[in-house]
Amino acid sequence: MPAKTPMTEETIAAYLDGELSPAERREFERLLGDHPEWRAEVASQAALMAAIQPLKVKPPRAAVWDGYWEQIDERLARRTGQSVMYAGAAVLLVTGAVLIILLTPNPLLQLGEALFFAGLSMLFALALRGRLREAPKDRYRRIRR
Amino acid sequence: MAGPEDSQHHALDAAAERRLVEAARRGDRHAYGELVEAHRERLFAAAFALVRNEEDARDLSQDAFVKAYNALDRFDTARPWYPWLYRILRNACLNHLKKHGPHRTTSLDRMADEDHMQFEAAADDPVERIQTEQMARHMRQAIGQLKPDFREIILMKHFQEMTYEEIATVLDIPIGTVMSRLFHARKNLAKLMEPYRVGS
Repeated sequence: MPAKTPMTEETIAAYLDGELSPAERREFERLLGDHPEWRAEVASQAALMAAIQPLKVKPPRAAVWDGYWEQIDERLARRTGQSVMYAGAAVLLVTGAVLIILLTPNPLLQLGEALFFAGLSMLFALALRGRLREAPKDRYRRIRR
Repeated sequence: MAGPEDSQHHALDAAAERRLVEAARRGDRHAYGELVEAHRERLFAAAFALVRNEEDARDLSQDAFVKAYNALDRFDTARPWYPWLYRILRNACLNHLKKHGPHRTTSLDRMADEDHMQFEAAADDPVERIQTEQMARHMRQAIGQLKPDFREIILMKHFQEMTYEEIATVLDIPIGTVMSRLFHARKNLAKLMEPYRVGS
């Protein structure tokens, strides 16, 4: 805030929220004396803030918290377990594919196997992507199956 | 994990919060549970203010906690955690509204929602309490009539009790813009509250 406090929308907000230093506050109040239109604006917004002050948002129904953390925890645990499973599956798929291709003597067969494993990897990646995207949208995930 | 009877906002000081975030980063889900416990009410209220549906607000706030956990490595522990979490929630809510639109609820749901959206009157004196409750009703209606940018900043400042810096971080705008937006939001709200002798 500059040393000489200007009368702006920003300083009015800062004044009302108690964000001005004592010196800036004194300067601002001195300026208010010369600007009746700003004085009215400050009084109007101060009255509004005084009306807001005793209000607080009503807490939601207690039932909202039933199983709240447990469901989050389950998702965190499931996600960690799934990540390990997917990583393991990917490693097995790639290792197996490389071994099979290397051990195949016929180049044409090798090409066929490479295409087959490439297709399988794509399916795997698509399934993984689908699961990651769908999981949060499952409307029935709170129901224990 | 505490049950619903313990659902009041649990204040965490910055150091305790940082310790919990660091522990959660190392995979300590119990520590993360404490963070969830401390912030769930505030985050739910923020989600509810954006999507106006209790079930969606619950799902979206849970999603935000899950996403935040998975992205903890990217969080700068020198900063407060809540604005970062709020930002994740806000993006999720905006995507949700883009997909489902703001009028997802049925009229019956909406009635229930609006009843829940009421502000609580904190006064002890019965007369003062009735007056405050009336004021709360008018205030809720007036806030509902504000344009979304203004409604959001009023809720962030006055009901989520965020600082200018936190609001600037969440909305990705300069602090000067936070101040001027707050000025205009309050000016508009005061105008809407004029019939009830507030701001006049």
